[in-house]
Amino acid sequence: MNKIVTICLIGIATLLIQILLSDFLLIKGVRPDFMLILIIYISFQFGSLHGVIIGFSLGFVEDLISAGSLLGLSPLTKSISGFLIGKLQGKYHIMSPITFHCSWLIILLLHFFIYIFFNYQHLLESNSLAFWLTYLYTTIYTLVFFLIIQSIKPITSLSSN
Amino acid sequence: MRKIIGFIFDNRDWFSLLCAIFFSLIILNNNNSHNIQLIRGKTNSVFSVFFIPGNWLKDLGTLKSENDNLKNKILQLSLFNSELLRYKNENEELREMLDYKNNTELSIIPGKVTSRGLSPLLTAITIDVGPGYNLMPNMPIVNVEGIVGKTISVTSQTALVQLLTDYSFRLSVKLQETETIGILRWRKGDIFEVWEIPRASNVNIGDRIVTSGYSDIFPSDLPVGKVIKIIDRPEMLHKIAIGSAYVDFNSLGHVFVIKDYNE
Repeated sequence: MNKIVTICLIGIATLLIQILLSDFLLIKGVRPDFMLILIIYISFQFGSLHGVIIGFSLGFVEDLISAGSLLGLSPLTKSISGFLIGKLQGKYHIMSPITFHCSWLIILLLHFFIYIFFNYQHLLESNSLAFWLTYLYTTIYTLVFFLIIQSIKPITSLSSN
Repeated sequence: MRKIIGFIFDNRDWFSLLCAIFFSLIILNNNNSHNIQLIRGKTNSVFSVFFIPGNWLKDLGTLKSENDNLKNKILQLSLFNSELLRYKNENEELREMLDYKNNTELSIIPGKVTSRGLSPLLTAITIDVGPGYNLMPNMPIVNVEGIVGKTISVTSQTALVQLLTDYSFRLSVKLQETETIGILRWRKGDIFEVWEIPRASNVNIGDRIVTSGYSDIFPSDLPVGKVIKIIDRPEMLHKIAIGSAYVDFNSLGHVFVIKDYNE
């Protein structure tokens, strides 16, 4: 019970951080996805089930507030990412460090690829370079913040639980 | 039955994933339904409260530079205005001589941007216009620089605005100099593409791009941007003009809803 309350409180806090900071961190229409970072941490800490639930819930709220034209895309990508990352829980000592880190990085890249592909698929047809650059900027921007938080609280310490 | 429940419980992470995918696809499939739009509008209205502190801080931070920019713009506009007044008088005289009908008249409602959403890509904003206005979906949104977007769902005071930067936004535009019609769609940053320009038409870098008026939503001649590059390849049936938007979507503060217009 305590675990659920803690996850809910952290989820609400992250949502507020995203609301308060996202405007200040907006560069050329791109901003970091703090909620995805939280989903990664929750999934590493508590596993796939919690990853899917928090991914779906935060993704749904994000889409409701952001309200571009694809309501439902964020819950879809975030719940899949939460599930896949949750599967890496406790695998750090079984897998080689390179495989482990490559695995979560690939999941993160996949998440952003699906998200950007659905939003900019016309760009892939007309100007693939612009598409890949948009994908790269969006991913790297979130990844930078993820690595900053990772240096404070490494994910390897979570997955070894 | 117990076996089934046991199986589901043992594989609850897989089942939760299947449920999440199932519900996400249902929501994706019902994006345009009235109820979904209503929920979006209400949620945005509620969550706009949380954006107030951020907006307040941002307003404070940008106040000085915004003030300097506005002073600069006032000076430029007042000089430009005196020139335009001369043209206006001349134009009215000529119109009278030719017995032309009246110009376009716009009825506008000012609005303040209360939220810019949370998605990693900036595609929508929420605006507050205050009570007493009968807002509706598909109303054009502009600011002093040009086209910003259109309303997609509304409540009594607020409206959710789909920005021109959203991937699914299409706008019928024309090149003001040659009256050539094309379809605008966003590319990235402040860059957009205008498709379907006939190869025979003359397009030049720096040409102004405005709304064509061939739309049920947008009146004609509202500024959109200017041409910065032209793509004209032999294998292509049409030209593509790459344009730069006049509106800075990263710093939207105040906008206007066009309530009525007659042409």
